[in-house]
Amino acid sequence: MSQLLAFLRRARLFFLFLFLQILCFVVYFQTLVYPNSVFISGASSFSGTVLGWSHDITSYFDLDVENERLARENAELRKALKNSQYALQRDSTSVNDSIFHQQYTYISATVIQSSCSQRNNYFTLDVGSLQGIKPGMGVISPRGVVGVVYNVGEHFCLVKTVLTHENNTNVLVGKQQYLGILKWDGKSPTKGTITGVSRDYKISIGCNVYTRGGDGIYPKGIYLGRVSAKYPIEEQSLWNLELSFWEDYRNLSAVYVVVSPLKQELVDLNNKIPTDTN
Amino acid sequence: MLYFLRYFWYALLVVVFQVFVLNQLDLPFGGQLVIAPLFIVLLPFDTPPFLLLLIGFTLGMILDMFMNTFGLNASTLVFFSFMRPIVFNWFRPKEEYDGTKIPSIREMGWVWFLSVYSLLSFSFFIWFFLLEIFRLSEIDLILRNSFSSFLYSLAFTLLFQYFYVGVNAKK
Repeated sequence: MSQLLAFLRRARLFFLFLFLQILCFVVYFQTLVYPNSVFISGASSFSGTVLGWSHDITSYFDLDVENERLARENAELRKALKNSQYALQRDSTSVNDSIFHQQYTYISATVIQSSCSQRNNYFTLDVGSLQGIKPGMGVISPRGVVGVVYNVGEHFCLVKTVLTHENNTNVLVGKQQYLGILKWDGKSPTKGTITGVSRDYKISIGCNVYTRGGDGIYPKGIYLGRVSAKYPIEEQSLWNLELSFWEDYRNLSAVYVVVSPLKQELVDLNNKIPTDTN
Repeated sequence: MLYFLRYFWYALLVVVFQVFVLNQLDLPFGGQLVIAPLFIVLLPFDTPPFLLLLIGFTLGMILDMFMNTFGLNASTLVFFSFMRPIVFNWFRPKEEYDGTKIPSIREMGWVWFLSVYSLLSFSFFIWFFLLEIFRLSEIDLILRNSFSSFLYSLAFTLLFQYFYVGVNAKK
């Protein structure tokens, strides 16, 4: 017994090390797999508030760039307005709004904390459950998609960005709209990787990439960037395409959280698909 | 008490500088400039090992709160704090360490500091990126990020120590 006590006394430092490591691992892996708690993240009210103060100060330095971005986006939106377009077939331009349901609405938000240098990059936004934000909502920017809301506090939320290991986004490549999956290999915040495109398809360098939509997270047709390189995957008849993001995630500030009122209906329908029991 | 307040103030500076300045830098080759290990290394020789572990854990958790890393920094700094007395022991000079001194270049010399800090710092980044990437198939990425981060942090540490030495030498 005295030997055991002596051993425990000798190894007490190691046991404290082990205890603290287990604590860290539990927090780390539990938050990655089950995002229940916002305590150790930028979405907690303490860190969120401090990050908000910091953003309030630093945002003044980026006002010029931000104004330019918003002006550019306004110009794009103005271009898309009906009164900016010339109707080729006059009879068919009248639209009865009652036949359309609003599929997406948008909540504007500001990125108050971001990082692009880690393997899994999460952004903190200054909107939370009080503004109606829920986990699973998409987040887009004027120049692409940002990610999916991962964890929500009262005033802040955490976004799992496209610059994370496990964030797969369905995309359409080129004019022919070949289906692919956007991933991130962790090497550069300006490049993504598109997998799952068959080598039967002719993919040209420079062709455009858009979101596929249909999952209730992102609207269809959001421009993401251009294919900058293509590599055949060995022993598979698939392309590995390199995507140059249009958005510069290192200088992102204004974003929109996508609210999809029809998403639940889509999820319910998908849940009714019979699973193969064989 | 004054002693404690001084190190508390240093720790606060480390967090603010890391979160609001260094994390905004876009460094090539997946590198990160991390200064928390420098803070742990520069704690006096007579800091009890269990206190080192608790300081590493607390500092790491605070960094995690602001960096959305959920315990990654805490785990790495606990590992670093655990390794500090072990590595110090390996490089123990013939005469014992003076507990009241600080493990800096000025006190211990270039060779001692570079050997100790390089070993500790590189193991810090290997642990950090192993845990963050968590795939041995991506060992090339782990090594690339670890090596580049190690170089950036070492360069910063040497610059910091140079000015630190300069200021102290003038006194």
